[in-house]
Amino acid sequence: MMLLFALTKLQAQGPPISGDKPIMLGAKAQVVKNTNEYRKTTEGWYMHNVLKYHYIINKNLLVAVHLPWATAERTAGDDPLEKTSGFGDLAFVVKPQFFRKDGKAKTFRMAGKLMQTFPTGVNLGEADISFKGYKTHVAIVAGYETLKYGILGETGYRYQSGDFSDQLVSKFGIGLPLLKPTYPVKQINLYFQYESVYNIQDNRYKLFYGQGIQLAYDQFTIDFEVQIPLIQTEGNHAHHTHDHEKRLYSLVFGGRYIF
Amino acid sequence: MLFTALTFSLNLSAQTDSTAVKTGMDSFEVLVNGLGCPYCAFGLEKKMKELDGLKKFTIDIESGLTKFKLPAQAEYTEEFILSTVRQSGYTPQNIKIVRADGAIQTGDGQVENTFNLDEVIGEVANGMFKVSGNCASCKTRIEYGANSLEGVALAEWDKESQLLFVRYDNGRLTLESIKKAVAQVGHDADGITAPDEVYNTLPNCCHYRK
Repeated sequence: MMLLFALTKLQAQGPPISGDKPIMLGAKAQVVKNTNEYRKTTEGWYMHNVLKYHYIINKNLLVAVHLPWATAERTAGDDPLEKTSGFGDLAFVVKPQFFRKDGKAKTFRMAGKLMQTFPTGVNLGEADISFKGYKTHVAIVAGYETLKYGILGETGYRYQSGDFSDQLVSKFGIGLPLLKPTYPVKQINLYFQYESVYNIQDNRYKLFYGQGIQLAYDQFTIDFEVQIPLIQTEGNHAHHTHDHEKRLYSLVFGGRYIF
Repeated sequence: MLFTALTFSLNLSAQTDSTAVKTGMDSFEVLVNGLGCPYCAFGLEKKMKELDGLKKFTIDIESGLTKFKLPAQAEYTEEFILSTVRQSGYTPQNIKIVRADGAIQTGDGQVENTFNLDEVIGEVANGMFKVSGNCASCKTRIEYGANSLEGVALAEWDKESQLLFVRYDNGRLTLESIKKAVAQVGHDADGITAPDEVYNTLPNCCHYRK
């Protein structure tokens, strides 16, 4: 296993490029994001490029659409795949915020999240990337942000159609700004995050550590991220034969612009 | 005929006065809670910029103090501004409006306050100390300086006695810190001298040092 920095999804300054948080921006804000993940596994590699559009309808409601492009190649294991590319499964997100406690230069917020993925893309046999199936992810997202640090947590349930196991997914992370907070934004943030995934039917558990850096300037943000697995159990393989595959690492980079 | 002409001109003058359009800019200062990140400030600014004629918009993200100017002609009310801040997703703590004609309005009773008796950390304490000032503008500034601290529930300054009464959570802050905050806005407070560079920026009517 390669030891790399893992990337974090947490941010003290704005939504993580590959993570999530409650609604922190004001109403009518629009965000265009692009995330690109290169995932290396024991059986091959995946590339997941996603274009995301987020719109905050009002202070308590956000909607989003994710349009992915996915590529994969598996040269080992029991489910080989020649290099294949195509549009990935389309996803829609609704996030209603139900709790907010504001203080001086700090805030704590909680939101529900529903992410629904549709079988519109290429089948790469990997539900995280694109599998031409339905996926419903329901979660609670909480975030505590101050000018000195941010703490983010998410816990949810993910239903995946076909041969793929349902999952319990949790995330916890911390973000630290390196520079004095200013407005307009000029900031460098460090992130540290854990992501836990339990495959229910497979009885398989995975724990990842991510660490990353975010550069924020005015309305632009650029993120770089590395994620490594800490735990990947075998499970009972009750579901998809593809489950022998283990992740070695992921490299993620992306950008965001806020309108 | 001369009398008629004079009467007509007086009436015309009266009509002009009653329909006079306000000119100049009203200045607004709003203390906003919930700005936990600089991008939060962006969200607030974006919402406020929907107001026609908004100028000189600034946010100090550490204190949450948001300042801007709006045309006096529009006569934006305190309630409307506070509502706009809430719609943007943040919590207004206090507001001060200085109208173009010099009138000062401060928020009263319509503003959410983070001082909640259920959240008192220490005990609710009362304090009183001498604060130098001259006029109604001084009163607004002195009370604003004290109220800007988290943990202060009430601050009232009396011009005649030159005394500031405060009610606060002594688990969050001390009387000394309130005095320092008042001095920082330009008013000598019970032995703590306001910085000269701040005092010198006060309007002439507020120069209390002889």
